[in-house]
Amino acid sequence: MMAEGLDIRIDERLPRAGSLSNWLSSAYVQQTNPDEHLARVPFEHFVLPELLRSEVFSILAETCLEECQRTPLTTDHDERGLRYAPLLRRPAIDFFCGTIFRRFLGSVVCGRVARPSDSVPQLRRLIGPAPGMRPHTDSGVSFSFATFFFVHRSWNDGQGGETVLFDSDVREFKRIPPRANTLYGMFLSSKSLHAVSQLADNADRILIYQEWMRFPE
Amino acid sequence: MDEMRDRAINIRPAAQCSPEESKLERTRSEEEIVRRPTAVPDALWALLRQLDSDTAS
Repeated sequence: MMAEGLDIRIDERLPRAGSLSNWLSSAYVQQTNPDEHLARVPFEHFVLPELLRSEVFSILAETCLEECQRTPLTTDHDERGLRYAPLLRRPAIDFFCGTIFRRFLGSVVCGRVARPSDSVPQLRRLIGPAPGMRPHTDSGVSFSFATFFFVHRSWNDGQGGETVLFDSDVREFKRIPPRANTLYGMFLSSKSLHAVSQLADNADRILIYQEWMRFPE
Repeated sequence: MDEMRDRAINIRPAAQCSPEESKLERTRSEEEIVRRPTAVPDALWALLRQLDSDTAS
C-alpha cells in the first residue's frame, strides 16, 4: 500500500537522541545494575516505571497524541478495534531505535539487542470500551521480545487495559497496568501465557510498540 | 446469552476455556499476533537501516 500522507516530521521540542541522559530519568542513567529489572518468573519480563525525564515525557505524550490524530491509522476490523501506524516523529525514532537505547535495553535483558529488519516502531491507540484478550502465549513469532511504552498523558488504574501474566499452572501471577511513562517488555515463548483486561469506556491507551531480538553478549 | 456473559467477563483463565478454545488462543499465526502497518514510507525504512547499522557509542 502507498504511504501517501505519511512522512517523518521533526519535533524540535524533543531533545537530541545522542545521550541517554537527554531522555531517561536520572535513576536509569545512574543505576549500576540495570539487569535487576529482568524478572524471570513466570517468564522473562520487565517493567520500567518513570522511564523518561518528566519534561521529555510530557512533550512526547503530546506529540504522540498529535501524531495519532494526524496520521491515518490502520484499524483492525475486529471487536477490539486496535489502531496503529509507524512512529513518524524524530528524534523519538532516533532515540528508541538508536544505538544508545539499544545498549540500555541490552543491559536490562542481559544480552545484545537488535531490531528485526522487517519491523518498524509503531504508535498504537486503543480507545475504550474494548474487550480484553483471553490468555494466550503469542509464541512462534520471529523475534525475541516486544516492548510497550505507554505514552498517554495519564492513566487511572481503574481503566483496565492491564497485561496479566499467568504461571505454568494458569494461575494469575501479576497484573501490569499501562501507567503513563512506563516501559513494559515481555519475552515470547510457549511459557509466556498472558492476557489483557478489558478497557473501560473512554479510556485512551496510546503506546509505542517495538519488536526486538536478543543475542548473547 | 453465553456470548454476552463471555464479553462481560474481564478475563477468563485458560483453564476455564474448552480445549478447542485454548488451542485457538494459543496457536494464533504470526500475522494475527504481529499487527504491522500496511503503509510505511521509504524514508522511515532508510532511517531505520541507518540506525540499525550505527554502532557508535
